[in-house]
Amino acid sequence: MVANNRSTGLSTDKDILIKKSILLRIGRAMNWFRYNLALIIPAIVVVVVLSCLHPSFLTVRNMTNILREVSVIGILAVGLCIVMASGKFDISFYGVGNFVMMTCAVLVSSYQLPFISVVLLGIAIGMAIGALNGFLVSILHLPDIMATIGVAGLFAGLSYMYTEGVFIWMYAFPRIIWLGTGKVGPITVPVFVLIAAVIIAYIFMYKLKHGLRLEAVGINPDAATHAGISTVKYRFLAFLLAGGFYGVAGVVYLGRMGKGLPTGFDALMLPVFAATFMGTAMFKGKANIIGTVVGAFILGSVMNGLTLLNIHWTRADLYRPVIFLIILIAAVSIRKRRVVG
Amino acid sequence: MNRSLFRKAIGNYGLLFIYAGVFVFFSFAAPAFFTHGNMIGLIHYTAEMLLLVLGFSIVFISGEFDLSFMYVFPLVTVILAFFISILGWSPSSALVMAMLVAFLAGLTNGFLTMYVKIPSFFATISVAFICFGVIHAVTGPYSIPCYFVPWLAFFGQGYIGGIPFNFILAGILYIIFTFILGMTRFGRQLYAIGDDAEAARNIGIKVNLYKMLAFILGSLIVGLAGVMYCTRLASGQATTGPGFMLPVFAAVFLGMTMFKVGRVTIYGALIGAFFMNTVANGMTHLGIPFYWQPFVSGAVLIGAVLTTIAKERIEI
Repeated sequence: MVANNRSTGLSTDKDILIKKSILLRIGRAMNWFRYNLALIIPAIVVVVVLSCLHPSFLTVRNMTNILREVSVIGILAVGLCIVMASGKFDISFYGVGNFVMMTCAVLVSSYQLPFISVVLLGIAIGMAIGALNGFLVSILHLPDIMATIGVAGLFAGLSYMYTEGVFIWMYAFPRIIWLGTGKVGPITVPVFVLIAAVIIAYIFMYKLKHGLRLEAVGINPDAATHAGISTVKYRFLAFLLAGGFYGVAGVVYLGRMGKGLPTGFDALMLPVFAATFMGTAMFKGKANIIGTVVGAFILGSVMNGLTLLNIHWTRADLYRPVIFLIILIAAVSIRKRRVVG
Repeated sequence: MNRSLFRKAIGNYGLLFIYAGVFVFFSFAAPAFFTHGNMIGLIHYTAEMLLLVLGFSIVFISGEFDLSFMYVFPLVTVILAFFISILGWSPSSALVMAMLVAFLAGLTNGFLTMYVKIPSFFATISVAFICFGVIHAVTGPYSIPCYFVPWLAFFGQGYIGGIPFNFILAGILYIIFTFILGMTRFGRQLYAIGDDAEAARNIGIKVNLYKMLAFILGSLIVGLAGVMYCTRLASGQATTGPGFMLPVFAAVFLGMTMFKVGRVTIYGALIGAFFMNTVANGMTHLGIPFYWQPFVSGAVLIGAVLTTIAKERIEI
């Protein structure tokens, strides 16, 4: 009711009375907080609990560790987030990541391509596969989950093609290793890559008109079409950009692992979905970059905390998804319960 | 008249012709393909895939998405082998335990999707990874060898009249579910929910209850597939699940291109499952490396989805 009046500029006496009531104002503020920032509460709880459990959790050094751990997940999740903002879903990242990782490993080790061109080629391959996704989903109108799983299968299979599943070691190529583990000051390079990816995505999504249009396509495709925004074009663009981010993640992960591994990205499936979903659904209620990064950071803290608490990896595999799910349920239920109307 | 009949035959039964073509091709290209032993082997190991496809289809008909089978399936095998060979339980109670785990997974899927209102895709993938965690907590990444008493081993290794028992069981389940989904109130209402959940709720169908039932049924069938797999290989397999994901999706979507285009049918999914396994089997006979199988699965999946969409557009 209040929102209506604000948009029309009209207000009645009754509304003014409602506006003046302090209790209602507090209620509305809490409402806004719960609706827009529901993820902050679990995030604070996680950080507080972990820093109580282990003294060295809340130190600068450990925070940089978490950021490093989170960097690849974050880059992938930012890419996925752009696709989700356009109202579609993309599962192909693990196939794309594996394929880019193996292709770059082969290009470096067998053909001695220079560092810069390998990175650019990785991004280009990612974008090409993103364009294939975009073609299938946005131009041919295939169901998004099925089409992208299919594409993931195609490229997950192809990534075995070069070596039939054998690793390609990268330690003879210091520049690739530097991209994954090198340091600039106290912070490792992947973190800078993550920050750059976030800044690029943020500018694209919130500072340029294209991002606004892309979001409009995601929120209401029919309305966007009537307003003269091409849904086909913007969804294609979203898939293309996401493919670029997956490509970057592929190259960075190659450096971080120190080897080209055709199944490297399979383990990242849950964290990436969890980060994007937490950020997307719980933070402002729509796909957004900052929420996704916060989500990735929470997941990273949980993983890091389990390692710090010296939990055996077989147990950690069980606790991790359970904790993710609990955080998710908490965020969903906090957001659902409203104080006022 | 003749022409439209031809078009209908190609349109609705095209996959059968393609399947026949593939079959004939492999029979000529690989001498050991069309032999008694290989055919029995093919239906022997397709039985589990048939059940996975059935479980996925039931949930998919109700309009939800169940990815949890990719780790519920290995979890059931691991639980069964673990309780029998390490804890020394009696086979029947271990079997009950394994099915109980599958039931719980289905219950959790339904609860998270229907009552916590997490989208089914994410809810089921979380459940899948929790199952993965349980597997690791129980065994680490190792498989558990296990000896089964004859009546339990009969699930996976038994033959009746030269035909594998697990295939007969899968066939019986397919007949039962074709009947349930096609001719009972439950089945028709499940299709109605899948088409439009809001409309179904407005005409008084208990949407949440039915979807919950679909999730539980789906998981129980996946559990049965796990029991068959475990008893066939005589071990709890910790790492088997994710490889089935793509072929199962591809099979269900191949099934959607047949009979009633754009609709999930049980018998269509059956043919889809056979198609996928026949292609994989034939490729192995021709000596094509294993990593082309996910590639082919992905290509078939995209092709099937494309065909469905193209046909639907023509009809509309």
